[in-house]
This record gives sequence, C-alpha cells and structure tokens, in this order.
Amino acid sequence: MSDEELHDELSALLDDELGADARAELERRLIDDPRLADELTRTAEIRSALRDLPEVEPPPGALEEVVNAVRAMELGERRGRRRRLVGSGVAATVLLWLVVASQVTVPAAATTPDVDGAVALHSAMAEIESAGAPGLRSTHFVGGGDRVHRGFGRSDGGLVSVFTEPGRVDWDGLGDGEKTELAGERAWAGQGDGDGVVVVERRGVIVTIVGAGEMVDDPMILAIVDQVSATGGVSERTWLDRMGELVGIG
Amino acid sequence: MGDADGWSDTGEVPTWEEVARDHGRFLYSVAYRLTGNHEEAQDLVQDVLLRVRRGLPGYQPGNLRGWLSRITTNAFLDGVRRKQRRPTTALPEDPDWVLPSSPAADEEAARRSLPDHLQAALAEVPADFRVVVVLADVVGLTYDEIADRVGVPVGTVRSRLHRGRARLREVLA
Repeated sequence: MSDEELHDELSALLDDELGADARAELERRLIDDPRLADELTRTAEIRSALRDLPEVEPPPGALEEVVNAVRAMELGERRGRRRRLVGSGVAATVLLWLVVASQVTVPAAATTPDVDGAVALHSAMAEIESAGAPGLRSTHFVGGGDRVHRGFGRSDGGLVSVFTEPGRVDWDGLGDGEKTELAGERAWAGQGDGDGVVVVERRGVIVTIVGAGEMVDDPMILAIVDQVSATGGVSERTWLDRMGELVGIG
Repeated sequence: MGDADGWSDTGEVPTWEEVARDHGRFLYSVAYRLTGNHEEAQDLVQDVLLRVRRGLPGYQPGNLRGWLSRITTNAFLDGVRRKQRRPTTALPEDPDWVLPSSPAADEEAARRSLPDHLQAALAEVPADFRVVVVLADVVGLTYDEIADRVGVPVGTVRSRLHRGRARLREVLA
C-alpha cells in the first residue's frame, strides 16, 4: 500500500468501508506511526463535526419563492409552447425564404432571444402574483442555460420582467415590431399577450424586458438598460441585484 | 436520514410539488452545504425542482432520497462548470454601484445560527471533493451509494473524501 493510499484509507477506516485485510494492515501501521494516528484523530473530529451539523433552516419564505418560481416557469413553458406551435410554421417559411432568396447567413454568434417564452413567463408570474403568492417580485432565477430572469414591482402595482443573457441579438430574427433606440443602444420594441416588450443589446448582454404600458420612454426602463454591466464578465444575476437597488424597485 | 427513517417511497410517483413539500428542507440543507450561501442554495433548489419535474415521468419508484441526491449533485456540479466557463469579475469601482453593506435581517439570523467556521471551511474544499464530503457526512450515504450518485469508482470516492476532509483540517487548523 502506497503512502497516498494509506492516507486515503484513513477516512475509509472511520466510515467502516475497509475490507478485513486492509483494515488489519492500517491498524498495524497506526500503532507504529504516531503521526498517522494523529491524522486519524483529527480526521475523526472533522467527520464528527460535519455529521453534527444541524439541518439548515431556509430563510422565511425561501422555499415558497422557489416553488412559485417553478410554477411560473411551468405555466410559462406551457404557454410558450402553444405560442411557438402556432408561430413555428410562419417562422419556418420566413427563414426558408431568407436563406433561399437572399443567401444571407446569420452570424453564428447572433441569437434571437426567446421573446415568446419571456412573455409567457412574465404573464404566468403576473397571474401567480395576482392570486396572492408572495415573494415572486424579488425572485431571480436562471430559466435554463445562461438566461436570468427577475421580476420587479412598479410603483403603480404592475410587474416588469427583465431577462438577461450573454450574446448578440439577431435583429432580423425578431418578429413584428419597431426598430428603435434605447439609452443610446439599438433596440426592438414589440407586443406580446397585451404587454410591451423591449429587446436591447449592450456590452455583450441581451436584455429583454416585458411589462405593461409604454416601454420605450419609461424612465424606469431607461434606468434598467442604462445599468447593464460595464464588463461582460459580471454575472447577470449580480447585475440584476444591483439594478434592483439602484432603481429602487424589486 | 436513511431509508429506514421515512425516506422510502410508498411506491407511487410523487409530483414535483409533493417533492418540494416533503423534501424541500432536506434539499435546501444539502444545497446550502454545497454552495455556502442562501442565495445560491435557493437557485440550486430551484434547478433541482425543475430537473425533478422533467425527470419524474421516467422515475422508477425506489430510493427517492438517492434520486434527489443525484440530481442535486449533478445540478451543483453543472453550475460549478458553468461558472468556470463564464467566470465573474469584480464589479467596477463606481460609487453609484455601492450596495448596502449589511445583509438582510433574516439572512443574518440564519448565518448566526450556523456553525460558521465549518461552513466557511467547506467552501474552501474543491467542488468535486466537497460533493463527496457532503454526500457522506451531511446526507449520510455509503461509498457505493456516493459512487453511484456521482458516477465515479468507489476508489475515487474514498480518495476524494479523505482529501476533502484533509482540506477541511488544513483550513480549520
């Protein structure tokens, strides 16, 4: 048995996971090697301390928030799927026409943010909130992959959803809407399920915002876009947290 | 927290909401031990419940706790790998970006109630080793069970567990 194996097996001895022969050999070595015996004692103390750790008490409402978030995503996915089924035929035709007729190839790095999915998730969140479920407004979560979502409450009681994801926008892939400018950046404004939708790209981060009313001239929306992280490496979740503090919402 | 302690299934496949209701605290506790903070623990539990929801149609009633442990472990390690691919950087030194220095009251209360030094030391253990330590010493799985959940040989479990505990010893020395 090598020295390395010998040390690795100290834990196995404590956990009663050694065969009879290996155990006997290790016990012999422990008698002859006080440093090894000391290591066993200290490992036993660590093991015991870990096993005595209490179950962690979640902060009040934390699990409820998580469950509500998953419910919203479940509902949003179902709605998004229905919308995509309706839209997929049209989208496929348009894409085929673009490829065949114009020979235009979309740069590989550019992506079309899932506006339908964002709208569906936003409306599901709003519905769950209106049914009285607490805590969703301060919940932020990854909606699969690198996309992060956070809902914010507005002073008028409405809800704004902000989605961020790394990447560049394929502007031609977005549906009917208005190409515009927001906070000095190229933007797209459209509608979905009666809500306003804005897509803007800044410093390698795609921001999709869903909310009621006029979006483009809303100071709160401008503040949100204005605060997109200065460095692409900052996690979107951190950015969302800071934004919530800065614009005083959430 | 073995199967004899009420973790065995009744033979029926639960809904994800039943899993959240019955095992949410267990999931949260394991998630907190793995991540080291409440915010990431909450995200991890959410990820686990999403995976549970997707995985339930194919779940064979048996050892639900083992299945949940595997999902939690995979979700945690996937998150670690995602972070490694997209490392975060320090936020710019801009006075406008200053956040309140004190944590929320409930966060602070929860922190005070935990053995801080041990939790902080766990965070110093490399993720692959930490998973094995948490599964052995917090969840209480055997080496065979850990090997099955993590997808590595038993010998690797033994080695990672001891090195993880050794790292804890160093940090706590």
